[in-house]
Amino acid sequence: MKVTVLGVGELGVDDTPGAVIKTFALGSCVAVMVYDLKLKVAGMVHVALPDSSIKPARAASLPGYFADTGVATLFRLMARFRSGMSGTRGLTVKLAGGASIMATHAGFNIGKRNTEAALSHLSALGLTPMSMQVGGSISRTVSIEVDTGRIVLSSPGRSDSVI
Amino acid sequence: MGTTITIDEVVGRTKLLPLLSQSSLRLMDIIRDDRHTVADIIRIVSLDAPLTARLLMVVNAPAFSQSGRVNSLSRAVAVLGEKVVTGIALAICAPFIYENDLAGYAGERGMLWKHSMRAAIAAREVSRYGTREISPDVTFTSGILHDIGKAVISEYLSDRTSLLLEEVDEQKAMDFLDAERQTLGFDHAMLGEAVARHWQLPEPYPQVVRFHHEPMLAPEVWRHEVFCAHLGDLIAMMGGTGTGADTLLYRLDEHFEEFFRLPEYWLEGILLAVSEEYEKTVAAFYGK
Repeated sequence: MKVTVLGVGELGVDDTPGAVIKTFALGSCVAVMVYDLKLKVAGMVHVALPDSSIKPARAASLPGYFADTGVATLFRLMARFRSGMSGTRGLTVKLAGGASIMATHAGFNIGKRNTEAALSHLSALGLTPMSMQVGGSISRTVSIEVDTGRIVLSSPGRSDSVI
Repeated sequence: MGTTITIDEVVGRTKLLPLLSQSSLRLMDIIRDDRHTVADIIRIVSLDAPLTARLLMVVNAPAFSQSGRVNSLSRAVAVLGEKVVTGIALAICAPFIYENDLAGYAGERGMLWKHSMRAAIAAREVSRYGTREISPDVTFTSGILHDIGKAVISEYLSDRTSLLLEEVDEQKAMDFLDAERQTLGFDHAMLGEAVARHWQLPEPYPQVVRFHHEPMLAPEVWRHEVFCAHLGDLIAMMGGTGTGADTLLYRLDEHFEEFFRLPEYWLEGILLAVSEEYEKTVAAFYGK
């Protein structure tokens, strides 16, 4: 089975039957996952920060690092796998991650800001996530199956879950 | 585990742990002195053949892609930086700590060293913003050391990981540290301090290890350094590099703002800087 592991800021799209795209230990990062059920194409981006304006050079070399450039690049890459279809028709989106440490200090809630930024950029594309598992103080590992779009989340010491 | 064990018994066992190598102790000692030179570092490392060999292997890994092969120790230290050299020295001479599989945290072998390295880089970045001067070298080493107690407490937490998570999830414990205390009567910071004392680490390292989750309880003279480790630890976990089931389940001490002058978006900047350096260092350490 082909398993593509994405590091922080990486993104991937795959239509290989049986393949899986996976990313480890999201922490405050957010994984945006997109799936085309009809064409069996799955995509994922591992977003670390909300906005690329903090370091455009990083965004140029690793667009997936930021929610704004990451979401845009993921959908551009999806379009290539969908015969150039640039619209979002037939796509479902799910989100995971965006956790935080145990704090009330707003400045520390990067996870929440990552989630909000991802939702905002998806909304601009006319998309609302079908389901999400975000927030809390849980570091999540997440994978998406190309054949089904099934998304499995796991965390050390806890039972796996599916969204 | 049905038996009860006291902290005195566990601390007694920490005294059986192997001691650190002389080169590691000397490195930690010397970098506390602002007057030290790179030549001092090279002199210490050159007397430790396994450390020299590992440094040359790391510096020649693709992640540090130099234009040519590095064959000299002085060049290796210059490329890696003396703080990374100290971190590597500790990992090599204390594999019983840093290569422990952390079963009690549902962690994996190597996770503690990775977390410690990321926390060290973050702690050093935070130290730049201190309301008084804070040694970046000391804070880096503090980050490397802060969680040594986890390698010792891990075996006593085995089979209880789910129970501890439940206590935190159901708010019966304030955080994972509190859950450790409620379950065992002691926590990884207490045991870490015992290890630091056994290793005869100089101050402030035993204080950092003991109070990195409760920095306001640290002696005032070292509170800045302890806060650097506190924030470095949390920032490493936010970046996805924890030690297992306890990742993110610790509280932020919000007094931190009294000890640093932090610009807008400081945390985003640090997360970004740490991510870049950490990825390069870890890839090189594992020969990638």
